[in-house]
Formats: sequence, structure tokens, C-alpha cells
Amino acid sequence: MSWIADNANIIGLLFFFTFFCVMAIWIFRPGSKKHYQDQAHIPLNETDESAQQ
Amino acid sequence: MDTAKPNYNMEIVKLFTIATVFWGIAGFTVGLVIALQMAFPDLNIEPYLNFGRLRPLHTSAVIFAFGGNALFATSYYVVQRTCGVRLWNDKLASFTFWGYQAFILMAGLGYLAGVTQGKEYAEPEWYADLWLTVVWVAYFFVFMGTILKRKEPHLYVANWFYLSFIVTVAVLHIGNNISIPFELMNVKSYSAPSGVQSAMIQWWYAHNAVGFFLTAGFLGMMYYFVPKRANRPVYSYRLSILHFWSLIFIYIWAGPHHLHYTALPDWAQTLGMTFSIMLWMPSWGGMINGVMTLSGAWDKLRTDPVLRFMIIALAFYGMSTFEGPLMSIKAVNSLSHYTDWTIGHVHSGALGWVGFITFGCLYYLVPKLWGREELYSLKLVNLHLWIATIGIVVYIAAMWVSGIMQGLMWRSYDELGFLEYSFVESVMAMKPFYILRAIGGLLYIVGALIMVYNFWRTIRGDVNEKEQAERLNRITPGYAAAE
Repeated sequence: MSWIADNANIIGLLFFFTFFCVMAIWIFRPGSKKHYQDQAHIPLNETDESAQQ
Repeated sequence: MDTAKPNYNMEIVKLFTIATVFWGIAGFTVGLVIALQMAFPDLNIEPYLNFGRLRPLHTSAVIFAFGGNALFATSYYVVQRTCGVRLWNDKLASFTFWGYQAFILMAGLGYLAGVTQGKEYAEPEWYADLWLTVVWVAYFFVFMGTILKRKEPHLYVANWFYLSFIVTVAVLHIGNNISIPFELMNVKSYSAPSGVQSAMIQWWYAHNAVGFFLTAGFLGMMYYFVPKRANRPVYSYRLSILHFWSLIFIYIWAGPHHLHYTALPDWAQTLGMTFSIMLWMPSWGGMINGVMTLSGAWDKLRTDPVLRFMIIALAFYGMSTFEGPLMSIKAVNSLSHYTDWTIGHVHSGALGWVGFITFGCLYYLVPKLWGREELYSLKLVNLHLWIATIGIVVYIAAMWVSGIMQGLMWRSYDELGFLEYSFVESVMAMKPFYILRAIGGLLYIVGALIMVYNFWRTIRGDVNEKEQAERLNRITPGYAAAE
């Protein structure tokens, strides 16, 4: 465990940097276009346009 | 009628909406008072109404009371509608409202009585801080509880921004307020860390109060209300995900730029500067994503002043997030720090971005919440927009000139190496700009009062028949003739 504590800086940097890169590549994976377009439509898909209960 | 339609809790949203408007007017007015105090020092009324006590009253009122209530109102509205379920736990939601207003009163009355921790944007003393922690945990439970029981499988991106705002503000608030009360029945406390550590924690807190309270939360508003008002999906959902992660990863490191040329180690200052410059990218990515939502529908800007409010807000966001990284560069900061340039920068973000996106959302929300077809008058919205925009431009232009002048006067040496100007000479030189700033602020308040009048007429159910006829005539040409 002391190895982790001693190298916390570089481990943290690599963890966040890797997470970010994987996320950036993941959102552009082939075939995901429709998936994201659907999500963008969530606010517009509401059925009741008046906010009344 | 669709009977399966969720029974949303809109009463709580109405309460927070009214509180937003009320505290907005209060906070703007105190701002005008302290602006006038800077120009006319005789307006300092000792001891309760002097500048030192009213200044935190202004900043807390506009950030935490106006901005905070706007965030509560819109987050409760957006999370219900994008999750398709009623807000979790009515009683707890109601507690967050009354508990939060109680916190505002505790903090504000404390300032007037001279009770303060002396930390910028974290002035409330330990008893108010503990109370806010309780309220904030309740807020987290209400928001999270709603997300957990949602019907919509995906969590819309606006909720990500709201959730990151709630979680991060909790961490910041607790981290920066670790202090030991002098004694149990005494309002005074002492900060646990001291010296430069305390300063670094304070600016880690304060800069991320800007980043997560005034930016992430309000971006949550942008991601819901701009697409709703424009009736178009956000320009790029992928960009919104990239925007989210890059913004929250980078913002948290930018705080040290408030401590350039201080006892803070040099490497930490450079780190803060570097991350501040990197922050330009997610900020502009988000701005472009919001503005480009109108791609193919730019004509709406001509006919809809509410949308115009939102887009001008994004323009101010882009401008102030360009100016911020610029000012974080050490060489620029050596001129701008401790001057009015900083005040102008904050207000282009606060009045332009936070204020305008809030006004845009409120103008969208009020007719929906009270079941009206449209606002009483869109022409008054337009009037508000232009009066307030001119007010902001006057304000920030005055502060640019005054701030750069102030910075240059402080660093002027004569041929023998003596300072060219005494401090009081720089103060005297700023007087005309202080008066201009007060005029800008006054215009902003006049605009907000027009909004209050418009809301009052809308909520009362008044219909402006002339504007309604014009609107219907646009949709169905010949309507007016047929009448």
C-alpha cells in the first residue's frame, strides 16, 4: 500500500487522463450516432406541454 | 388526455421561482448601494450599513440567494421532467426551501451585525455553515431520490451538471469551513488551517464556487431551457458529454490563480495558471454547443426575446471565460490583480451569464408554472433585455478603464525610482468610473423591475390582447382581419 501512497501523484494523473481519453474515444464509437441523437431529444419528448399537474 | 402523465411537484418550483425574483431584486439593490458608497463615501452609515458589512450582503444575496434559488427551482423542474417522475419526498423538498431561506437570513443578518469568517464567499460563521450542510444533504437526497426512481432510462445531460454542482458544492463547503468555535454560545470561530494553506483552501473553494455553483449548475439550465425554448435538440450531445467531463476535471485545479505573487509556492501558481488557460476549451465548447442549438433556426432570435436573453447570456459566458484565462496569466495578473478589472470581469460573468440565463429560464418557466399561454408581454421582455444589456456594457467598460488605469498608476515610477502616484490619487482618479458603474447597475435593476411587473401581470392571468392578436396573426395570417 505504501507504493500507492508514494506514487499518488502520477497514479492520479494517469487515472484521470486515461479516463478522459477512453471517454473521448468511447463517445465517438461507430454506430452510436442514433443513440446520442435519441438522448438529445429527451427534453423534447415530454408528452404534456403544460406544466400543470 | 394522457392519464399516465406524472403528477409533478410544481408547487416547490413555484416557491423557489418567487424566492429567486425576490432575492434578485434585494441583491441587485444592495449592489447599487455599495456602488454608490464607493463613489460617495458619505453614504456609509456606521456601523450596520457600512461598505464592509454590505459588500458580503450583496455577494451572498446575488450568488447564494438569487443564484441558489434559481438553481433549486430549475433543478427540481428539470429533474422531474427529464426523468418523467414526481420529485422524491415532498416533505424533504419543502424542508430544502424553508431551510435554505433560513440559511440566507442567518447569513445576511449576521453580516449586518458584523459576524463574519472573513473568507470571501464563505463569510457565514460556523452555526450557519452547519445548518447549510444539513439543508444541502437534504437537497442531495431529494435530487438523487428522483433520479433513482426515474422512468427515462438515460439521465439527460442537464442532470449531470446539476448533480456535479450539488456534490462538489458540498465538498467545497465542508472543506473550506473546517473551523473551531470559540465557545458553544459564541458566534466566533477560528479556521483549523492557517497561513498559506488556509489561503489556498479558500481560493480552491471560491474559484470552484464560480466553477460549480455559477457555471456547472447554470450550464445545467442552459442544456435544458435553450433546447426547450428553441424547440430543437442540443447541437451535439457528444460535445455535451465531452464538455461535462473536461469542465469538471479542469475547473477544480484553477483556484491558485487567485494567489499569484503571494507566499503560495511558485509551482502551485503556475499549475493554477496552466489549468485556467486549459479551461478556455471546455468553456467555449459549451458556449458553441448552446449557441449552435439554434443552427437552422436563427430566425427565432428575431421573434423571441426570451431566446435572445439565453443566447446573449452565452455570448457573455464566452466573453468572460475568454477574459478569465487571460487574466490568470501571471504577466497580465500583475497588472489586473487587486484592481477594478477583476470586479468588471466577475460582473460580465455574473450579470451577463448567470443573470441573463436565469432571466431567460424564468421567462420560460413562469407562464408554464402558472398555466398561462404566454407571458403578459414579450415587448416588455425585449425592453428588459436591452436596458439590462446597456447596463452591463456601461458597467464592464467603466471597470476595464478604471481597473487598467488603477493598475498602471500603481506601477508608475518616476526617473528617480519613486512611485509616481500616491494611493489616494488612484482612488480620486476612479471616481467618474465609480459613478458610471452605479449607472450601469441602476439600469440593470430597472430591467429586473420590468421583469417583476411582467411576472405579476402574467401570474394574475392578465392577457395583453394587442400582443396576443399579433402573435396569432403571425401563426395564422388573416386572424386579425377575421376577428
